[in-house]
Amino acid sequence: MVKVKKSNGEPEPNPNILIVDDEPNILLSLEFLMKKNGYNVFVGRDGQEAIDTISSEKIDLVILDIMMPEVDGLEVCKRLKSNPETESIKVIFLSAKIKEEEIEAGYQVGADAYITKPYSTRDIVKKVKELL
Amino acid sequence: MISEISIISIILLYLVVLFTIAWWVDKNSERGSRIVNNPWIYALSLAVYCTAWTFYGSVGRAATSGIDFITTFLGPSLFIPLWYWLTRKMIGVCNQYGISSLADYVSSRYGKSVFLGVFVTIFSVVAVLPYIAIQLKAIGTGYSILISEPVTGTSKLFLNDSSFYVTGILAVFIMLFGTRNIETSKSHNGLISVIATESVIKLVAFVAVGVFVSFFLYDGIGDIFSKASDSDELRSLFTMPEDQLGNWFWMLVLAFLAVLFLPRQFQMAVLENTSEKHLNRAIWVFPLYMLVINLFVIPIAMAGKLSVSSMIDPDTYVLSIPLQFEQNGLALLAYIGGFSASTSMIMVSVYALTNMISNNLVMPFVAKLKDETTSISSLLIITRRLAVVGLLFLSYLYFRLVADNFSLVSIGLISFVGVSQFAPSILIGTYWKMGNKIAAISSMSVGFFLWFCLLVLPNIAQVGLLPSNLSLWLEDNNSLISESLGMSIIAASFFLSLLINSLVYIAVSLLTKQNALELKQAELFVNVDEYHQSGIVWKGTALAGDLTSLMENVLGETRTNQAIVYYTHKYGDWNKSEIADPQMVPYVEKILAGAVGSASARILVSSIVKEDDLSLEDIISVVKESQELLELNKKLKSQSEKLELTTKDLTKANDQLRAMDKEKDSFISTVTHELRTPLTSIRSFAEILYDNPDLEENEKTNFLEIIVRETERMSRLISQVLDLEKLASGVIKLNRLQVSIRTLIIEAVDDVRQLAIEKNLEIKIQSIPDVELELDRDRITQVLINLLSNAIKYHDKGDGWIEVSCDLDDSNSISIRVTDNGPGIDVQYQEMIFQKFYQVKKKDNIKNTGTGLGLAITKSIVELHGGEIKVKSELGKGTEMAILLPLKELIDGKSEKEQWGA
Repeated sequence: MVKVKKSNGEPEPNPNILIVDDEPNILLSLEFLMKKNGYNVFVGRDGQEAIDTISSEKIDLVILDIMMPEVDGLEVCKRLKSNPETESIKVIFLSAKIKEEEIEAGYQVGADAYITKPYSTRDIVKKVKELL
Repeated sequence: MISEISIISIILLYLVVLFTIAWWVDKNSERGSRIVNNPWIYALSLAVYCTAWTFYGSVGRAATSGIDFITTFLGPSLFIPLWYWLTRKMIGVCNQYGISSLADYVSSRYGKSVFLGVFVTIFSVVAVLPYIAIQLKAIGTGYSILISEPVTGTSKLFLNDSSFYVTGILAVFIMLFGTRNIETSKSHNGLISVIATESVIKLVAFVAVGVFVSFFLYDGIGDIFSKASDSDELRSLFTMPEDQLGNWFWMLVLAFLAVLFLPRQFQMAVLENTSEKHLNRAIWVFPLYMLVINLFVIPIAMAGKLSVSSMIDPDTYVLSIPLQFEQNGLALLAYIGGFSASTSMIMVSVYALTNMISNNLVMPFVAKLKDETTSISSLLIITRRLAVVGLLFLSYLYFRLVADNFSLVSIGLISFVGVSQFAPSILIGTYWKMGNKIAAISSMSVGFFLWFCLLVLPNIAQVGLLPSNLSLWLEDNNSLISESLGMSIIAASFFLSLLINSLVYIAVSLLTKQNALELKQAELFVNVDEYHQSGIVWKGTALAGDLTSLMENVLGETRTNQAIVYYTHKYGDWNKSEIADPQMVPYVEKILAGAVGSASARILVSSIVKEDDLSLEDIISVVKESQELLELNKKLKSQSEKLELTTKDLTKANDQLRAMDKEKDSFISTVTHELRTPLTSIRSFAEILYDNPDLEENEKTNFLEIIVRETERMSRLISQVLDLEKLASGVIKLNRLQVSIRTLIIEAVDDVRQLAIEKNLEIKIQSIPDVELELDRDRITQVLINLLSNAIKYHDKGDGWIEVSCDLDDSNSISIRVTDNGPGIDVQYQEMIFQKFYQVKKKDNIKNTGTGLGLAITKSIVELHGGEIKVKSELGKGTEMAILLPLKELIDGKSEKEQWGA
């Protein structure tokens, strides 16, 4: 059961952004921000939802939490980047994991950016614009 | 019959081969080759134990008195582990102190006593000379049998006697290869390799005769036995007599002592040993050798009885059987075997006795009488050569005059009993420090006196050299002893003399005192492993130059220079013009002892040294010191063991601490991680509100509400973390009061009722026993509220219920249950829910707003009360959380855990 919300009113070809986090309030704030900046937003609450959405929708960028139940963010990114059809999708990790080796692990699986929580929403927006 | 010429040429050829081997080996060892430093050669040279007595005599003894011949070989084989242990210690002693003979060993042990050296030398000669004589007799008899002349050798003129010439050749041989080296404590490689070779030859020859008799004359050993069993005489001969146990035992012990203390065995096993490791080979090769050479003794004896004329002496079966069946080649081989057995025994025995005579009999007097001009080294060589000739001449004389009257075995056994008289003084003295010189002299004197009266005199009497009434009395006396002990006269004499010898030794040692030198030597022998220097204590002054010229006088210049080089290498400078270092004097004495014996070396050294008398106190203080050192060593060892244990404990504690540290680290990291999540939401919405002043009113309200909720979540988290830490570290003390359990439950339910109503849930309270318990009211309320709010929070049904019940299970505990009909918890998560920060996800995977610490805190509180918490749940059917509290503690007061924690 995939819960996908498609933003309305924005003309194509606005980039499609998928936001994945198991914290409802974080999801809510990021969704608000991205829509505000003119992107089409899809949301997912765990790794499996993210993978399902990516296979059914043309996604340009994923904002991905790492610590999630079942399939974690690192795994999602790894699958994404190893598949030729999806490898061009940009990945931004958002995580409360702040240790050097944890960040290193994020880049190892092919992430384009790694932003630690708590972050400034302004940095997120800036980073997304940079990548798209 | 074989022609005399061919026999003589074969003997001569054989002797040439032996000379060549000895010469070649000696030449090679001079060049530093180590052919003889070989465990096989060492083991084989021990087989010098098997003499003509074994070669001819065992068969004779088997044919006349049955299987008791075997004790001679069984004894050493059975006691071989003990032999190994004793020999190793004696080798250590001899190497350490440069001991050069059996007599030197005894003399050195008892304060370098000149008297004891002389005593042991004389008795060794007396005990062994007849034994050498019968070897000569065996050579002569064998020769006569080969040329088929009647065996009445003694009537011949000595110039026509083959044994005479053999004796002469042996004298030359021993002089050439045995007395070349001044230092007798050095190995004599040429001689040793000849002995080892002869051991092989005699074994091969004897086995060849055995194989011939068993497999060519008869159809195997079984055939001989079955034929023999038809003869009454043979059957009775080879049936083990039942009442001979004591006899056998003492004969075994006798043979074992002989293998230790026959001068030739001591020479080979102890003095000529080049490496203690060789003992490991000898310990099995030597018994195996004796086993093999004895395999065919009984078959040959039986075959002789069955197929050779009864006129023929069984001692000669090994030769006469092959001759009777016209196997001249085999007879010659057998003769060479017997010849090897005889000559090897003669050579080693004469050589060993020669060392005793020169070092312990002659040298002490030379050393005392010598003046500046005496050359000790040339005197030594002359003495030894004279001793060789003298000993062999005496043996020959003995053989010509008396030996004819005795069998090989009886003289051998008498010799055995003779040398066994050294056993108490050597064995006990090597392990017991109190054994002293007077004891050694008196016990050996008594022993030899008994030996002489019980065994030697009756034998002389048999020849008719004693007045007939004395002979008769001796004979009666012996048969009386023999009968009353139930043993043969040999076993009985051995038992009696050894017993009395040992008792005298121990008694006199306990009753008399040692002088300083004796005390020192006793300490050096018994604790040989502790003294790696040549001496323990020496007081006095000497000039190094004097010591050098003394060594040159005895050893010659080359050897002296070697000794000095070794000294400088090991201990320090050797400056001829200076006063000698105290270490030098014992060192020189040890080197000299190797050449002239310990007692003579002592005399020589003291003649050039101004010595202070060693007082008893000096020795005792040194001995005490070494014992204290030992004690200290022991203490140090136990200390270091203790330290090791402590280190282990510390390592363990450290590991535990590290594990705790790691746990703490991971806890902190989880806490900060959990704090980051609400913080992120708060910051995000705060920024959104700030950046977007044009937000709609309801959006604004919503976002602000989120900020407030997340802030609450953070403060809750912080206070719970602190709470949990306090509970875990035991800082918290329970505030126990008398509380009505019913009131407690009703209050908790009232607290959460509003939440339940919001989710349309019914809370039911079952009948509650009206008891008052002593517990922390606030904490248990916290527990109940936590359980109830969990049940409410996770409940997903419209009209569900929650039930609270309380039961007195039995007299021991009370249980409070919170049951619901909610979603239930998967079995795999039921343990994990009590872990810190673990949260069960709701169905839609949306994280709930709890901290994940509630149940961990609940568990801690319950455990602090001495109780436990249990979960019973099934997916889709609901959950039951039960708190079990021990009644006794709740009434009596504190729980054990609380006491420890406080």
